[in-house]
Order: sequence, then structure tokens, then C-alpha cells
Amino acid sequence: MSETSGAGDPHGERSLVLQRQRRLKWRALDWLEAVLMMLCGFTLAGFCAAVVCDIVTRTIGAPWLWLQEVTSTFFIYGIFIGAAVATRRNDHLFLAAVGEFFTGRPRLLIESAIRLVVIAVGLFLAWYGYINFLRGFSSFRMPSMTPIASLYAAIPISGALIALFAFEQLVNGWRNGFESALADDAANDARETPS
Amino acid sequence: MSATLVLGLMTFLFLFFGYLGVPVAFSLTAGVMIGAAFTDVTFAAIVQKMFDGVDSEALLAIPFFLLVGELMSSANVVQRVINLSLTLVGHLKGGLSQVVAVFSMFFSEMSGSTTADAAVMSRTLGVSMRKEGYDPPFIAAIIAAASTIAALVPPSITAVVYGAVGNVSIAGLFMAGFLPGFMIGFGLMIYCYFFGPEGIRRPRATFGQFTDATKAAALPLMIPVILLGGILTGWFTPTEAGVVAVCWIMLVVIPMLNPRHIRNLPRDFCYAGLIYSLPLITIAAATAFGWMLAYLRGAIVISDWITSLAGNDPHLIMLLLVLLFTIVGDFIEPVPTIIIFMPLVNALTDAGSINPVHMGVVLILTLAFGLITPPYGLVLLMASKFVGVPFSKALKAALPIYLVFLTTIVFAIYVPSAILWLPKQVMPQAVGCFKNPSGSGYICPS
Amino acid sequence: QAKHYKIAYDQPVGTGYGIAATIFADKLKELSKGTMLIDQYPGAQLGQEPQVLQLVKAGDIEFCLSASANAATLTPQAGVMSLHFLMRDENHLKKALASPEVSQAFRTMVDETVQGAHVLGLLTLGFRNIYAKKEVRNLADIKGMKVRVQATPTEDTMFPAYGAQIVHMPFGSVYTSLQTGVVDAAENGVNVYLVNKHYEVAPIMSMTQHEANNNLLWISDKLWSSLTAEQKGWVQAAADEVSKVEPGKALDLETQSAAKLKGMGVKIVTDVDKSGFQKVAQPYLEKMANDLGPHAAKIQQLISATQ
Ligand code: NA
Ligand code: NA
Repeated sequence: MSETSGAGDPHGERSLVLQRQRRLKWRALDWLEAVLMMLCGFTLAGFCAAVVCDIVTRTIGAPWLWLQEVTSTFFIYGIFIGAAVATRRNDHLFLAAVGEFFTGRPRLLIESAIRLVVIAVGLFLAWYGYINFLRGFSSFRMPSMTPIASLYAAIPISGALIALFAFEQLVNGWRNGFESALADDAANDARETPS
Repeated sequence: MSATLVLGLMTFLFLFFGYLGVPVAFSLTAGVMIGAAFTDVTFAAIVQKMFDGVDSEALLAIPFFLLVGELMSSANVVQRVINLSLTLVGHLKGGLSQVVAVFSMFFSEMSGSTTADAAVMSRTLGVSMRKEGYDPPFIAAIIAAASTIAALVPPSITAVVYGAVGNVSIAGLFMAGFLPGFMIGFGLMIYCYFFGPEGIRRPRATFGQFTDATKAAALPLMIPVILLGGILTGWFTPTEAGVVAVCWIMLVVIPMLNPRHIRNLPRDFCYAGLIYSLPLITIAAATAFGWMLAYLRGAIVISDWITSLAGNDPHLIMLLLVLLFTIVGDFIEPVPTIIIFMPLVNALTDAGSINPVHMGVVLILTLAFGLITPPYGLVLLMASKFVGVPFSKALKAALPIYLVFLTTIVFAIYVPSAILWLPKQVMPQAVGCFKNPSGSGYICPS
Repeated sequence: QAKHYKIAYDQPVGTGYGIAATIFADKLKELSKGTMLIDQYPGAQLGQEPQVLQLVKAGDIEFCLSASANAATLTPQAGVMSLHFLMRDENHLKKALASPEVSQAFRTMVDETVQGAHVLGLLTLGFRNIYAKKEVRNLADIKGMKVRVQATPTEDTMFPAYGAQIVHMPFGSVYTSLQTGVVDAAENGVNVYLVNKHYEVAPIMSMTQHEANNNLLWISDKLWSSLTAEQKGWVQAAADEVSKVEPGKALDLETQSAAKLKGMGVKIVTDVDKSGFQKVAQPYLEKMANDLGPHAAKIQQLISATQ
């Protein structure tokens, strides 16, 4: 379902700023990746804590009814923040990467097309997510009566970040070459693959 | 543009972008986005459906099931379970390949994700197997095949999604998943014994070595006890069981077995927070895709087509659905497949008067098999990447292993009494029985 | 030429919702001489009720049915329909829903508080009852029980007033939670209880009839404002037909469902002593309607005054 690292951690996958495909990234945006990764940890920890409190308060017979809204807030923001930062780290789930079989100009075209699609999806999520966010002010979460817009807001934020990170890769790919960026990783892989 | 044409376009674009190398979630979204432009659906509605897809209580179990596996492997606790597996079957013909099957049967009860299993095994047992001279394509194949057990044996993210989307008892799916899961595990052991490489056989472990290894692995082995015991006795929902298991690892297992790892926990949380979003953003996008399929009445067309072929014959309905899921699962992942086709599955489960838990297990099994079949066998792809062999070679080594899966699938379709035996014993409600309100025992549908 | 419109609801066809949608579709087809056709999307195919309501407001779906409790996510005053013992009995329920004044008051409330959608009429799935692993024969029996309730201010007030402990969770989690004992009881209509197989985990239903499962037929403003006066007349007349015919049929369906459940071995407690509940609820009825707002207060007075 999702790629997870285990013992070994060849690319330092757990580090807050991933060094894989370094040449596709601007150093100036590294702080953003680090902050988003920390937010991933924070939302997950908050989510876990809220679920634990929910169980405990329910078991002792004094349930905090608003906890479920807190839980879903952490859960939803965690998903959309994670989806954004995974774009910069290239951690998403892929069906295949036809591009790897090509070099030169076709490769450049394919890699660029991929980023353009992702930018389009990101901008789509940002703009229509914003319209959906505005709609969300007239629908309320029960029982606190908070507008559901408070949750919908996660989507346009995520969309804008997705578009930004795909744009970053596109510009750096054109400047530094997509292939050479990946070749660095292949060299690293070769060094670390146990023989 | 006609509804069929729009659906065709959406599907084509999704596969086209997907195979080009656009992440699954974004290629689904792009397909829906462009498809919606040819209908009356507003784009904001698509965004809302993506949100609705993840705004579901039952999905809350997923972060915990991922976190359990993550913390176990990150804190290096798995080695103790590997050692236990070694003392159990290390002396059999096939050596480490037997250990892979047995370890996976243990670890599947702690991890909900097949790819997490594949990663853990590749980086531990896979490395040892290479050192002992096993054929690398075979290493990838056996690890991938054994990893699929995680989707069947509880906890299972696939079962959580199936239960949440299809309104089927998740606990029932968990219990019913045991038998096919272990059938695959033991099937792999039998395959390795008769047809696998000879391997290096270790001396049979003494009883003392076995008890030592069991003691060393006792704390992590409590996790399945907590997860299953909690769900079975009715103390916890699957989500709550996940919470308790995570607490057990953080408060007991790691402090006692690897206290130095405690300082790494914040980093583990950041990383786990990232990876749980990956399946869920895919669920969000698949929900929008599935919604368009319902809106354009695509599911009804396929289900009418299946009922026109199969009538109300439950076996035939299941076989056709297995065929459909095999084809679809060859191209896309289990989770989006379940979400997109659930309305269809529900209609056909009713039409054939099939027990929903039985149907669920058969389809989850089919999707697990799809994880090691071409062109898109996610787990086999990952295992070959980790082991460092071309996918085509790993695939060739995996082909004979398909027999284990096909036997299990046919068995699961035709012997529902065996599949539903365990849930009926431990939680009769999960398979449609209910407690007699004015007496003892249960009333079960015939 | 004929135009197709979508109606979405989140229960299967064989429920009160299906009955209502079919009455509406048939009547509209008849009145419009086949020019306005309704396609049904049952079983939450297009989403759960609060989600579908959002899509109706946006104009993506033309019609939908929703519980008044879910309508409260758009206009909190709709919560008035969930007030306990607002409907005295089945006869009162049928009369109140068919009353033009009640219907008009409700439509006015929605028109003045909700943008993007318009209510055409009221319908019902009958009364809500409590189901659990044990009987609830009187007020004393519910003391201390953990009851899953809809997340509305009404339920949050009433059930604690009866001495029960409330738990919020989405409808989809009710089954598992009853099974695992996270909750001891839930409450809903007989047919909903049957169709969703909740009897498997809570095989005793006690007919407390504490509130009615009232529902609304919605149309998107996008469609409503695009219709000619004549078409609006047809649509409204078809909706009026639903309010007139559906409650009787839905109540029959409840009776049939109860008979079917009994045949399966489920226990239905019909002789519940409701007086204790009513006594607790009575002072809240007017007070909560007034707290909700002027529209709610008016609707409550109209319904209470219906004979
Ligand atoms: Na598992
Ligand atoms: Na496949």
C-alpha cells in the first residue's frame, strides 16, 4: 500500500528533508519540507492522543463529545499535509514510471508532462478547493456547530503546495536535467545495496 | 458526450497518466477533473467528494495499523520474531525460504500493510538469503508472495477499507481472513519444501533454544494477542485495538527492548504521519472517481451485465467478480478498486444472497493475489526493487507460486462453511447470526 | 422533450425513502405528461445525507431526501422536528405532516435560512425506538445506559435528561459499537433497524416512539429557479402527493417490518410505559423550540395544535 522504510534506511527516508533527487530541489524550500514533516508528526500525535482520550473518557463514563471533531480535524489535516510534502519527496504511490525506459529528449518530455499534470491537479485543488471552502461556511459540524469550512480549508492549502513543489521539480529538472538527478540516486543505491 | 464515453475517457486518462508516472492519486484526480468537464458536475463537487472519501470513522484505524508495523521495524524489534521463526523451521528443506513464510505469518498479525511487510523482509531476511546464495529473483518472489498474507490476516488495511466502504463487519472480515491467510502461508511452505531451492539447512533448534527465542520475542508477540483478543472479546473496536497496540509498543516494547530508540520516536511519528497520508489521499481521489461512476450509472451497467450472465447463482457471481477484480487489480491498486466497485459488489452480494463477509474475503484474497501479478503487481514490484532484480525475472520466479493462490481462491469461493467457521465460532454476529433474545445461543440465517 | 433529474437518498429502495421517491417520480411524470423524469440513486450511491445536501445546494444533484436531523447541519432550526414527543401518536404524525400550514412554515424557514436549496415537502419513516440487548420497558430501564444518538443538541439534552449516557458516532459505526459494547443501545425506526441488520447485535427493540423520523424532500435552487410557473406547479403538486400518501405507507412498512423481525426471532416490546419519558420531555418541548429560533417555535406550536 505504501512504501515504508525499515532497518537500513538507505536514503535517510526518515530525515525531515530528503536528500534523494537533491538536484530537483531548491535549498530555499528545505525549511518548508521540514516544517511540513513536523506537522505530519504533530497531526499524527495529536490524532493518537485524541483517540486515546476519547476511549478513556468514554470508558470512565464521562465522554468528551467534542473529541471526535478534534480527532477528525487532525486526521484530515494530516492526510492533506502529507500528500503535499510527499510530492516534494516523490514518496507518492505510482502505477509505473515509463519515463525510466527513456533517455534524452523523450525523457525530458515525459518528466515535464508528469510535472505539468501534477501542477494542473494542484491548481485545480487550490482553486476549486477554495470555492468548496467558501461553500463550507453554510454547513455545520455537529454537535459543536463549527462550519465544515474549517476542515475543507486543508484541501486548497494542500493543492497550492502540491503545485509549488511540482513547479520546483519542473524548473530544476530543466535546469539540471531529470536524468542526472536520478543518476545520483542510482549511484547511491549501488553503493548501499548489499552484495 | 454520452455517459459511457465520459467514463471511458476518465478511465483512459487515469491509466495513461498513471503509467506515464503521475502519482496514482493525481492521475485519478486528473481523469475525474477532465471527465467532469464534459458533464453537469461542478469542479467544487469533485473536491467535496475527495474530502467525503476520507471523512469516514472506520478509516481512522489505518494510521494505527501502519504505526504498529512502522515502530516495530524502525525500533528493530522484528529481529526477535525472525529468530523465533528460525528456531521453528530453519532446519527444514528450503531453509530461509521456510523462515520467510513463517515470519510473515507472525508479522502479518502485527502489520496491516503488505508493502510494509515486503520492505521489512527484503531488508532483513532478503539480505541473509543473498548471503546464503539463494537465486535473487526467487528471493523477491517468495518475499512478495509471503507479504500478501498481511492483507488477509488481521489487522488488514484492505479489510478496514472494504468494511468501511461496503458496510461489512470489519471484525468478521478479520476473523474470516485467517484461514485463507494461513492457507497461503502453509501453501508457500509446502511449495518451498517440494519445489523450492534446497537452501542451507540449520541444525534443528533444541527445545531450550526455542524457549529462549520465544521468551525474547514474547513482548512483540503480545501485539496480536492485544489486537485480536481485544476485538474478539468485544472490548475494542478495530481502531481502539490499534490504539492499544501502539501504546503497548511505545510504553512497553520499545522501552524494554530497545530503550535507545525512544529518542527516535518523534522522527518515527513524522515519517508515519507522512506515509499514512499516501493510501488515504489515494482513497480520496478514488472516491471522486467512484462517485462519477455512480453518477454516470457505470456500476449499474457492469452489474446488470454480470447478473445477465450469472443470474442468481452465487458461485458464478463470485467467479465473475473474481475475474473482474483480477483484471482491474492487474492495473490498479486494491484500495481504489474496492472503493470504485463497492456499489457493484454490494448489489451483486444481494442478488446472489451471498454472505457479505464471505464475498469480502474472496475479493480481498483476489486483490492480494493481484499484488504479485503483472503488469502492476505492487508488492512484487517493491520486492524486486529492494532485492535489486529486474521485475520480469522476479515475475518468472513467481509464476509457479500462483498455484498456491489459485487453489486458495477456488477453495474460498466453494467452501464458505470453512471460511465462515472461525467468525461463526468467535463472533457469530459478524456473519449474520444474533443472540436469541429469549433464551440462550444464537439464531443464524440458514 | 423529456428531461431527466436525479434524486439521491441514503437508504435502499425497499424503505420509506424508496416509497417517497417512487410516489414523487410517478406523480411528476403523470402531471408533466412524461416531460419531467426522475432517476433514483438509492443506497447512498451519491453520498451520505449531509454530503448530498451540500451537492444539492451547489446544484450538482437536483433532488434529495434527508432526515430533518441532517437538515440541521444547514439550518439548525430544522432540529425542531426531532423534539421528543412532539408527535403524540401515529395519527397525529400523519395529520401534522399533511397539514398545509406546517409544511408552509417549514418551507418559509428553509427559504429564509438556507441558500441554494428549497424544501418541497415533509415525509416520515415513522417513529424512532430504542434497541439494545435488553428491554427498555420504562424510564428506569434506560438509566445509565450508553446510547448512540444523532449528534444534535436535542438528543444531547434529552437522553441525559432521561438518565442515559450519550455517545456520538456516525451511523456506519453503530453496528460494530453495539457489537463491541462501546454503546449499549441505539435508536431508530423499525425498518432501518431491519434493513441495516442491527438486530444481529441488539436483538430487542422497545417501542418507545420518543421522536419521529421526519424527513424532507429537497430541490436545488438552481433547478427550481429555472422552472416555469407551470413546471413549479407540477413539482409542488407531486411533492404534496408525497406528504399526503407516504406517511401512511411508511407506517404500514414499519408494521410489516416489525412482523418480519418477530418472525425471525427478534423481540419487539410493544407495551412500553412511555409516561415517564413524556413527563421528563414535556417541559423541554416548548423551551427547546424557542431556543432554536422563531421559525422552530412557530412550527412546534402549529404541530402541537394539530388535532
Ligand atoms: Na495483517
Ligand atoms: Na497485478
